[in-house]
Formats: sequence, C-alpha cells, structure tokens
Amino acid sequence: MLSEFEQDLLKELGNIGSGHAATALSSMLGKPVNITVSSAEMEPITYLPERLGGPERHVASVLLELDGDIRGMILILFAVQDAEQMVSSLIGMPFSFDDFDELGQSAWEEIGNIMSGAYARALGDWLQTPIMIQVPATAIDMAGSIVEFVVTSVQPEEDAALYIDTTFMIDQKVSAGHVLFLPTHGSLHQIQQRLMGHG
Amino acid sequence: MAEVLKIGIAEWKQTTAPNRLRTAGLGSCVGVILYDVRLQLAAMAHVMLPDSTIARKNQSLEVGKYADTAITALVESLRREGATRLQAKMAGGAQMFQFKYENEAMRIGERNAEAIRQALKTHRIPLVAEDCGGHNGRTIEFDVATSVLSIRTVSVGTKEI
Repeated sequence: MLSEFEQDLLKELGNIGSGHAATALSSMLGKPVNITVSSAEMEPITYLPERLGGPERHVASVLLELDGDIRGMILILFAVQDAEQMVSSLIGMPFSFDDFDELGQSAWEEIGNIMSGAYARALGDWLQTPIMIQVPATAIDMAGSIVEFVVTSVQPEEDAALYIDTTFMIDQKVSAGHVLFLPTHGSLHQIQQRLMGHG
Repeated sequence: MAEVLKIGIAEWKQTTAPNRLRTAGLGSCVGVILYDVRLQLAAMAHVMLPDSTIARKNQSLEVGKYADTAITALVESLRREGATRLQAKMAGGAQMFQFKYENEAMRIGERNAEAIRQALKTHRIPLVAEDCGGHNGRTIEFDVATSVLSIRTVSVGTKEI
C-alpha cells in the first residue's frame, strides 16, 4: 500500500487534474467554472460502488484508456442529472439523455473528452512521462456495472483506485463529479518511483 | 418470512424457498444460479473473471470470483444438502463501453459467460435460460420457490427468464 507521503502527493495530483479540467471546461463553455476538490484518496475498489451512491445509482460516465510507461484507466462519473445540467450549459437548452438528442449526446462526449484528457495530461506532467490516450467512450448506466467493468478490464494493482471528488460550479449550479484513476498491474510501482523523485 | 439475500462482487450464497437471491449492478460479471426444484434449494455466485489460474499467487483465492471455482463450490455445497437434479440460469457479461478500437481485456464479459457454460457442461448441469452480453448493466433476483429469474436494466426495464 502507499505511504502517507505518497498519498499526499496523489492528492495534489487530484487537485492539479481538477484544475486542468476546470480550465478546459471553462474555455469550452466560455464561462467561469469554479471547482472544489473535497477529497482525493486511494480507496479499495470494493468500496467504490457504495461511495458512488450504491451499485444501482444511475450515472453518466466517461472512460479513457492510458498507454505509455504508465498504463491504466481514468473513469469520470456524474449523477445523470448533473451531467445533463453541464450539457445544458454547453448547448444553451434543456437536455435529457432520454431524448436521444444527437447534439446533446455529442456535447456530453466532448465534455468527457476534454475533462478526461485534462486529468491524463496532469498525470503525465506530474510524473514527467508522456501518456498516450485514445478517444474516450461514454456510458449511461448503473454505477456498480460501470465500475465492475472497468475493474475487470484493468485488473489494477493493490485492488485500489485513486478516487477524487470534485464539484464543478457552472452558472451557479453545482455538479458533483467523481474521478477514478486505476493504474494497471506494474504501473503503480512506476508511479511510486517517479513520485519519490519529487521528494 | 421471506428474505432477500444480497450477493456482492465475487461472493456466493445458498438458500431455500421462500427466500430470494439478489445481486445488483452486474457489468461484465455474470450472476449464475444453480438450483434444485424438488428441494426448493438454490445458490447464486457473482462471477468476476473466467479462470482461477490467472489469480496472483500472493492473493488468497476467493472461490466466488472465478467461473471454474465458483461452479465447483456451488455444486459441492448444493450436493451436500442432498441436491441431485441441478439446473442453471445466468445473466450478465455485458460490454459496458464501446471503444472505437478492439481490446481483448474488454471482452471479459463474453469470456465469463463462456467459461460458465463450459463449467456447467463439465458438471453435466443443464443451462435452462440465460440473458448475457449486450451493453447494459443488470440487477438480478432469483425466486427460489418459482425458479424465476428477474432481470432489471436501466434502458429496458424488468424481464423474467
């Protein structure tokens, strides 16, 4: 498991990533985005569905695969109504995922794209290693099913994920996001070695 | 009083009528139920991975986690209770995200379902019904008294097999 010092460094990574994501969102929306990072910590994967509000909670998610020296996945989750609110801010009209509205759907994919990319870039800058990314995929479904799929795909080390709680305030409306970073087997050790370089 | 027994990821449980067995938020995992109609006895496992040989050596083996060890554990436990005519139902094994490129690790749901089919064949247990694959998460509940498996998805609602 990670030492307290390493956990602190990862928390800082959570702050930097959320800052990058807010800046990217703000320039995309053309309006200010305020963020608050309420927590960033390593959590056992088995706790994650409960922390997200139970395995059956309906969430909107974005999944990005990372390649390079550091491999793993970044998963971003929002309560469905919070994601819809962000899309509404972007397209300037009410939006619901149930409407199968193409403009709204692609706006959500774009939000996912720039947010997950911002976290990936923060991770790469922080660890001073290039991280390669592809186009992320999105899914609207039960939190438990989404987390489970990601965990079985990554098979992460230590059975733990970096879990960042961030609230984004846009147009006086708050959207609570959860960002999970799951390093693959072997990558956590790489991260630890690079983090020690910072000490 | 009928009870609903909840099964978490990589767990398995056994019960009798009028109780029910439930597991929530199946993604790539598969919920498999073995049951004996005559004895009103059933067991459910929430299988996460296809094969126990990929378990890391320093990890304690959770039998419910892998298709092969889960089926063996269920069969042995139900037979100890006197079960002789076992049948099976299963649901899950979805691919939750569709990427624009292929990735073998993301087909794990399909491999889980196939590993369970193979294990059932080895134990000569008929697979009466299944609802596997697709892109939706599932919550399932098995009624031991009627052998009906209810499957709920966010997009389709509830169906029974």
